[in-house]
Amino acid sequence: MKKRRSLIVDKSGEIGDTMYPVIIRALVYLLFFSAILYFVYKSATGALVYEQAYAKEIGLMLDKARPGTTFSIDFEKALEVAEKNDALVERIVEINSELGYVKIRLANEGGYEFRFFNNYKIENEIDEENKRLIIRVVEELA
Amino acid sequence: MKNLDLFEDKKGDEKIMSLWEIFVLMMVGVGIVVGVLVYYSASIDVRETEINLLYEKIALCLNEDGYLADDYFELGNKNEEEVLNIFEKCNLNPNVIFDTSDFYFEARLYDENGIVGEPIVGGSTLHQTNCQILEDTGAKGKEFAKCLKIREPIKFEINGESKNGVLEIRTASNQRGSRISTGQ
Repeated sequence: MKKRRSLIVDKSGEIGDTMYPVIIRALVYLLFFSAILYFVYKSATGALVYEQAYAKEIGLMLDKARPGTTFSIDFEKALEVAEKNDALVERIVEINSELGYVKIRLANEGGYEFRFFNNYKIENEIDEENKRLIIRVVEELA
Repeated sequence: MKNLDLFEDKKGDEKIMSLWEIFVLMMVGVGIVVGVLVYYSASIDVRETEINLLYEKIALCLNEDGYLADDYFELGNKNEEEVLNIFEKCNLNPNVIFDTSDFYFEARLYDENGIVGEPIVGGSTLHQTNCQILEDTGAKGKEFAKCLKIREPIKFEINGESKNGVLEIRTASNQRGSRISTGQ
């Protein structure tokens, strides 16, 4: 007579036979998707995004400005990204009134340039203590 | 001779991951990386705002509370010296408007008989043509400049005679900004 075997009984076996491949596969997947998430996070909070955003924001502000205007822009994120990328603070913002461009560099290499058509003399400085960018529209260019 | 069945003698170890699985995983990874790079390097389009700012700037210096600026008729574009007048008057930077080819503006004055005086034009005339095409056909060209045309009533004086007319201002921008390459 054939012995009836329950589902639980006599299911002996080495744990390595079944569990190790599953664990290793799970780890590979976990590592893979963690790396992807890390890459997406780095891209979303990196210089690429903020350089363009700040350059265009400042450019449009300058297009609308009149002499005597002073802007104080929250620059915390820019300084944070620049610090992370070891960028020099004095190179972060470059505004050339005569050629009409604003350049933002939040990393040692590259940056973003945007042109503005207003013809005024512009002065700018970074207030590192309060993490703000101060821009003054001074006078009309000759 | 031993007859081999399809399912016999097919022994194999259980692999941790098959080649096919690794390939699928790599494709997913490459897809996400490419997608993220394309998304975050995409340009933020501010051309619509720019054409409004350019219009505002020109309108403010040509339209003085409903009256045409006194020196409007001296601002034509017959020669370079005269072209510069509109830049000086409206505080526009000629280096940007001419050198980049990203901008265009034009102002025309009309009375009941048609155009009065010379139109005032600055920037890349290519955008003038493109804007006209877009306006005539109603098409939307992704690579074309963004265009704006506004007509506003205006009072002006010519040959000692006071008249009512329309000031038409067109502006266009195709500035997308640019990445600076290393070393610049």
